[in-house]
This record gives sequence, structure tokens and C-alpha cells, in this order.
Amino acid sequence: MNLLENDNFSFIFDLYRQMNLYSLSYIYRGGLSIDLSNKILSLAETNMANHSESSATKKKVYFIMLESLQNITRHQDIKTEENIDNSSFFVIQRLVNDYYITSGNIVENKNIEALNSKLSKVNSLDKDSLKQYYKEILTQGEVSTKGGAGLGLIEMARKSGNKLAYDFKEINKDFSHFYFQIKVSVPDPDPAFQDIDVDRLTWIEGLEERILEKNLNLIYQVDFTQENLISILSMTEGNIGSKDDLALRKKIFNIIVELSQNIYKHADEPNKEKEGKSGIFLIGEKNGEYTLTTGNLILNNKVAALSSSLDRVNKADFDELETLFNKIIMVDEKKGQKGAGLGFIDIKMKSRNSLSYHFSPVDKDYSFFEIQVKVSEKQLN
Amino acid sequence: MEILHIEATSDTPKVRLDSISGTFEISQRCFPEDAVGFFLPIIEWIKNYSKTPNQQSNFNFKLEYFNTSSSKQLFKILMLLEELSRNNEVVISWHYHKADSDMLSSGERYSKLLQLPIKMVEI
Repeated sequence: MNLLENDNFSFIFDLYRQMNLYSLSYIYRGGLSIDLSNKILSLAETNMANHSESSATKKKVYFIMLESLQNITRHQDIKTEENIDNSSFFVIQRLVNDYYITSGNIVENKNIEALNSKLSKVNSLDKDSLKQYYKEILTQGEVSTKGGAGLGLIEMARKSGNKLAYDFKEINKDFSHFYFQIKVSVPDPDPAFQDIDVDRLTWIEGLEERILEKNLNLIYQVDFTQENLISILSMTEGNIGSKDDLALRKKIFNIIVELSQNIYKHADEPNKEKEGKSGIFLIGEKNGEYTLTTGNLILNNKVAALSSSLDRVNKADFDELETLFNKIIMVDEKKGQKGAGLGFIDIKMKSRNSLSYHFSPVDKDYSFFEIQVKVSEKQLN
Repeated sequence: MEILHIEATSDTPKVRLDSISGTFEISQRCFPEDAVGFFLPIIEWIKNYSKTPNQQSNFNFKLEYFNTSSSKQLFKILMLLEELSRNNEVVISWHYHKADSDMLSSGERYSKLLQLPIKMVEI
């Protein structure tokens, strides 16, 4: 049974492959509060610790992320027309030799010239002149009204030791997207990561366009482990509905837990050295309806059993599901059984929606399994 | 009997089982990776307690979330309490936030499955 629109999953599978290939750890789109920035930072810290990155690299990446995120939170409150999505955008990638930290936000066209000249000034200076320029600005106190003195930019350039990459993409006569990317080179290349041979900033801009079309907020692709699940949850929590949508928030939280735990309990990981399982997690929102999607690899010989258990859940009505749930809950688990076998039933009961799923053949051993569930406040009442 | 005290983490609940002060409580979030392993000492403690229980025991479940693998373990705990209630006074309170109908349904489900009176407490 193929419930997902074809276009949608070719997009997700494609995104999974691209993110894997280009080592995108995660992409965040949406409003960015200070609290959420902190969560993004702590997630990066955990992931860097897991990759046993040197402390100098960790510090640099952390500093540049912090500055980039602060730039966004400081400048994101500009008022745009209703039809312009003024969400911010944040991406972190780890490649063989470098980290790439890319941020994006809306700017007013009238400010572009000043921003452009600051950026090209910083890029025109070598290491020593940057240091000199930093001192100059510090003593002159050329502070902009938004509290940024351009010092942040200079510091980022100094810490990264690389030129700043940036781009403006006009939306209309008043506003543009501003993209900003910094590279942090890592002293010891890690061949476990792949390198890419494309213009990275252009590639990311194209990616954001596609994400925007799909109303996605958070895309996260990394090893699924319990630790990473906790980070995903805390990032999502800060980003769902208003404070009073407690019921909806809890449902979403529960569904994320079940979907993610399914990945690290049941996914098949070709790379046996990995601690977790590779997978992708996406959350999107449109008119109060949240769409939660996960994707992971499974062995071809498990596809039939997995589809039939999903079909069984989808065909059952809610009374039948309740009976099924109760039957399973009362049976003692078999030795070595990883999950309770209740996840899909629980997800359908909580979301009040069927589960869409799809398998895309990858090779003779593996398929890519996607599952998607929608939940909205409207359905709950 | 020794007190069983487990501090909460971001994915496991706070547990306090203390027969001296008569506190039996499990609260906060519960979605451990290994639910069976996490609940094992709790189930053992309740089994032991059931040998020499207090005249009255008040068990409080104050969970914010729990995953499906924990739901099975909670069922086991409630089954032990049902057994205990045959010869002893046992009061089970299931706390839920008033907007959280899923938590309320879970409590009602356990009560029905075990034919055990569970007090639903709205918070």
C-alpha cells in the first residue's frame, strides 16, 4: 500500500541520500528563540564529543555557531509582508576536512549595502590586518543600533581562519534572504566523512527552497541513539504550538519517541561500527497540522512482515486497536525482544490517523523505509 | 525494608519507594531505551514489599509521558498491586494533567484491564 504522495517520498529519500553523502547533521528552519539556540548548541556539543573532535575545533565550532545563532535572533524580528515566510535557517555539516556552519535569515534590502560592505571589508583583510581592525573597532566603539559592532563578524573570521561566504537572494523590492557560511578546518581529516564537490552555499540555498515548499521545520539526520533522541525532543518541544497546546505537544512528543525508538531498535545498519542507526527525522507544520516523518534502512527480507503489520494497524478501527493493545500489553515479553510491539498501534491511537509508509529499494540487501504520521489539534477535538 | 530511590533523568522517572514513610511514587518522564532493565529493580522491590506490606499503601503515579515499552512494565507493577490489594488496603492514584486525555485513557485502561479501582486525579 502506498499512502504517501510519490513526490513527497522521493523528496525524503533523496534528502536522506544527500544528507548522508554531504554529512549534513541537521537543518533547522523556524523561529529561533534564545532557548532553542541553546538547544541547537548543546546538540552540536554532544555530536562533536561523539566524534571525539579536538578541543580546539570544538571551541571554534561552538563559538561560530553561537555568533551565527545570535546574529539570527538579534535580527529576525523584522516585520515582513504576510506572504513572506521569515523563518530563520540553520545548517551544520561535517565533511572530511571541515565543518560548515550556514545560517540564513531575512534582511531588509535597504540594509544590504551596509552589510555587504562590512562583510567584504572583513574578507579583504589578512590575519594581521584583521587583528588590527578588531582593535580599531573596539576602541572606536562603532556600535550599530542592534548591538552588533561588526566585532562578531571579525571574530568569526579570525577564529575560522577562512573567508566568509555569503549571498543575498532577493524576495521582492523590500526584502531578501541572506545566507552566511563559515568554514572551520579540522586539523586531522576524517575520511569517515565524505567530501563534496559542489558550491556549498548554492547547494544549501537550493535545499532551503525545497524545504520551504514542504513546510518543514526541523530535519535531523545523524545516528539515532537515545541520547540524540533526547536532543531532538528538547528542540522540538521548544518549537511546537503555543504553551497551551499541552495535549498536542504531548502527542507529538510521544510519537517522536515511538518513531525514533523504532529506528534504533529495529533499523538495520550496514555500518556495524556505528553506535546508533542512521536515519532521518523530519517535522513540518502547516495550518496547525504537524507531519512527523522518519526514514531508515531495513533488510529486504523484513519488508513483507513490516508492511503487513502496518497494514494490520491501518485496517483496524480504534476499538480493535484498543483490544489489540490490551492483548499485547498482557503478554510477557520474549527473551531478547527489543520493543513491546505496541509502537504503531499507539501512534495511530494517539494521532487518530493512519500511518503512511513506503519502501524504496536501495540494493540487493536493503530498502529505505519511510513512515509518516500527521497530527493536528483539529482532529483531537 | 530498604528505600528504593531513583533520581529522574531526561528519559527516566523519579522513583521513591519507602515503606517507612509510606511514600510510593513514580513521577516525570519515562521513555528509557531498555524499559525492562529500568523497571526490574522496581518490580523486585514491590515483590519483596508484598511479603511484609504496611497495613495501607498509597501508590502514586504522576507520569508526564511514557513510551509503549514502559506501558508493559507499568502493567506488571499494577498487576503486583492488584495481588497485594486482595489482602491489604491499597490505594492507587493516577495523576494526569487535565488537558492530557491520553494519560487519563491510559489510567482508565489499566483500571479496566486489571479490574482494579484506580483513583484518577486531575492536576
